Amino acid sequence: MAIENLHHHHSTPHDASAVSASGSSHDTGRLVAEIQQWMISQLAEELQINRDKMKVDQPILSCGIDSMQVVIFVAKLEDWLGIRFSNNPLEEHSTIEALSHYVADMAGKRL
Amino acid sequence: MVQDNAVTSQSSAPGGLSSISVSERIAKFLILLFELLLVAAVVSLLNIEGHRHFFPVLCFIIFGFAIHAWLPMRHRIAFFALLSITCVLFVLGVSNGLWVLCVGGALIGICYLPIGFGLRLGLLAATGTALVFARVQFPLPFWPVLGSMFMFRLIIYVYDTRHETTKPTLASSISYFFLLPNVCFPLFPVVDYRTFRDTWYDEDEWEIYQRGVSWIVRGLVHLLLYRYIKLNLVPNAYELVDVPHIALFMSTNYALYLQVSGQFHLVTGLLHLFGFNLPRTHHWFFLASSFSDIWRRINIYWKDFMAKIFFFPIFFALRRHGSSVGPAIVLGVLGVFVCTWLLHSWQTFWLLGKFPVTANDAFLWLGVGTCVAVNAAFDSRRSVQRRRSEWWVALSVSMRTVVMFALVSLFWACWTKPGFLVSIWGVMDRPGAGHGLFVVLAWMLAAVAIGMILKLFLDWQASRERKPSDEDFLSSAKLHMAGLGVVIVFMSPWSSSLFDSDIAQKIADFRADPTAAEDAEKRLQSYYEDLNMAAIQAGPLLISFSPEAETRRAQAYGFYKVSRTTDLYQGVELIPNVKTELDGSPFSVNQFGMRDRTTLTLDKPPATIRIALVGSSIVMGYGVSDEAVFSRVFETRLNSEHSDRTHRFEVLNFGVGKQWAPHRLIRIQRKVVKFKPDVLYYFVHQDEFQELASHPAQLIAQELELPSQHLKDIANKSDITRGMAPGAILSRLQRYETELLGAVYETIVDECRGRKIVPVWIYLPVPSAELDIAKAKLIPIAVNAGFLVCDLTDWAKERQGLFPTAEHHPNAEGHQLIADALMRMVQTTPEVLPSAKP
Repeated sequence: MAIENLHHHHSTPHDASAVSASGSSHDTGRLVAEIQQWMISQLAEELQINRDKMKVDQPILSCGIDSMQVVIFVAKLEDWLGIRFSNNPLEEHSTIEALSHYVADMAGKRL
Repeated sequence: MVQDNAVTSQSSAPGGLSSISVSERIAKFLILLFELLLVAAVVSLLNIEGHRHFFPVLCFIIFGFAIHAWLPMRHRIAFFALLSITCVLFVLGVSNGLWVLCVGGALIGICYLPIGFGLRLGLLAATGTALVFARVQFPLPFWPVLGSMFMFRLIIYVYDTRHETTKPTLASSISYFFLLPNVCFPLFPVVDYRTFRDTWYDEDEWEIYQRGVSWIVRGLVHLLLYRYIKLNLVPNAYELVDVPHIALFMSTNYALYLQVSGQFHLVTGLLHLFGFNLPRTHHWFFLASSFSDIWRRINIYWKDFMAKIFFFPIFFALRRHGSSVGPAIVLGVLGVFVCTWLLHSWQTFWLLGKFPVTANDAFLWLGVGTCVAVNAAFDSRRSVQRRRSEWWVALSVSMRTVVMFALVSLFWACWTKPGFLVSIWGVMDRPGAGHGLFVVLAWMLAAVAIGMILKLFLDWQASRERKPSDEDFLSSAKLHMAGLGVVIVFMSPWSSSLFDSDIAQKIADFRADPTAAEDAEKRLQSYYEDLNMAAIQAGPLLISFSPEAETRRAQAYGFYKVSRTTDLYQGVELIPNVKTELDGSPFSVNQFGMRDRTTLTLDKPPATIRIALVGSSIVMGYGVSDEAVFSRVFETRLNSEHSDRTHRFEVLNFGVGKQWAPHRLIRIQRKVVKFKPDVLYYFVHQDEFQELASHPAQLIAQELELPSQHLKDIANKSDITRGMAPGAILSRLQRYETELLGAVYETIVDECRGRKIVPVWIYLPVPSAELDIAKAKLIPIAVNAGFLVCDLTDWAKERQGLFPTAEHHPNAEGHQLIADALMRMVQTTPEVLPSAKP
């Protein structure tokens, strides 16, 4: 999945700019963890389920999320990180784990 | 990761293989086999999807399952591909089957070409365009099957494989496109390629198989409910004269969608038997509580297809161009509904050979799209709702569900019956509308109360978490076996002695599936039922299993191609200028809507004696070519053997199938007399008493004028009053069926005598082993009405050689014999052939 037209619409997470600037694998790991926590809270809230039931290696679409909730979730992610996807990123990165690595990688390249 | 279980031809076993012992495997296999045999028994007994040849296909699938379940995992997908290909040949026969396999194989081949994606896409588009032209030019029987396999799945396949560096295995591609049950279900769920690939044996195989049986059983339940509703609950069009009947029509018409959900459950259930653990296609769609919710619950595969191919690309493109979430969602949803509207026409084109683009459809699809878009935009803005009491939530959900059901039913009724809203306003003006409205509102309130209780109960049940265990396989199997066993016992012909004769007759009628019978299209077709008319022309092998079913299907489909519904008076009419092929014989309708020559003129040529033939599908010449119809043969022989060269004979064929005596009277009044015939031959068979009461009852219920004073006199003495319920009108008129037939005949004779046309009544029975009791009743009525009566009972001594199996339409030889009998009639009864007028 390619990310096109990267914009700074909103403030990016504090850690994202910091770790990306430093570029260390430890900091990338922290960013990935932070993105995963953010995704889990967003999905748990959207689906009104206990966040403990969310697994990072489970396909997000298998949690009972529908297409409207997908776009709202992805749009929030875009706004949070200040990026834009060219298409639905869940098609190629279906789990929280895969998506967070992909997004962290892209965010790192952007910065 | 689900990808680990993807369909491959690798030797590694996917996660679906269970680690149970061989004896346990054998036990589970035998239980499944027994369940499937019970399913087959129910399908055969209740003639489920008989016109689609489902029973032989199901037997074929069960046989395939019995082998597939014991194959090493690495061979299973290849075996499934082989089974799918064989099933195409089994159902369609070699000739049509090979067309499907060759054209389909070429399309799959293009996807494998080692060229760039753009070139491949261009080549597919060019081939698709050529196929569209071929579909228009050559209306061959294999198109609906080929179209249903490729019209959407090719789009998904290309989309899903566009970035993949390694091509899918040929076996998985063949399996995906020629999916086993598709050949007898042209209206097929839009199976997603990735889902198809990634869910293959992604769980324990026996759980998948058992889930498949559950879905098959659920599909059967939906189809039987559909049959019951169609037969017993959907009101006729003429009954829509008060608010309760309007409400009943709206809700039952929407409920007819159970046919589609039933078929889709069957299809996905059958695919589970081969390891495809596909997700559900429908999820309690009658219980949707908002427009977004109905879109999520009904035809889920379609929703996912539209989201993947249209909604997400539109949404993210708009976002890249600076749009905020709300407008991007609204425009994305509207885009989806515009595409849905056009793709339904695309689907209709491949299944039925026509591309309907109507303002009514556009208005309704876009109307629904707007509602869903507004609903979705509203949902996207809502914040997390504060917690409310369980009772409040249950009441709110139940109310929204009832209102949503009413709204979707309204939309559905407008799809089925253009102008439905106008007819509602007409009903609201009638006396008693307020009381009817009150009754309907009371029912809705009761539904809200029941829904609320149900919601509270389900919430309570959900709070008692129950983990699935291994016992579920057995408990599910026991439930299916018990349910199927009960159906077999109570529905079988042997158990008819358990019930009184009325109930036994009703069970027998239900078993025979009258919804798929020859006259099914006379009933109001709902939106998807029309799409479901796509016929499968079976190959010789399949026809040999059930020749009668094939004959009924071919006739129903054949007449559907050449006729259309018209007003309540006439029922159906032939479509002018149609040229097609029915059962291999050319069938042409002229510009006047008659099975006759296009050279015919409205004005009678000089020195011509015109003979008008009025009657059934036998007179119309169903099953024989244009030149073999007895009207043509009779005309040729009259002109060669009876003409004195100062005049000639013209025999005009006004025969139409699916019409009865009251409709024929209308045809005479509206059409026949305009051609100024000299003599009218009115043909009658044993079924002359059909629809005698229901036709005038429908006209009276709709406050339409009866077509003659004779009929009005009978209506007057039947104590029918204004505003009476349609059912009551019908039951009163049924007491006067003999008088009604007499009134129809007297009106025909009056119409003829007023125009100096000689009215001739000709009894032409279909040879049958049963005693003909109709003739003795009919002849006195015709004589009393003033007809010149001719009895051609002896036109054929027996059916042998004159009628195809189980048919009541004679073949060309039979038509020759009818013409012979008519020639004998004009010789022995010269007054039926008047001399030429100056």
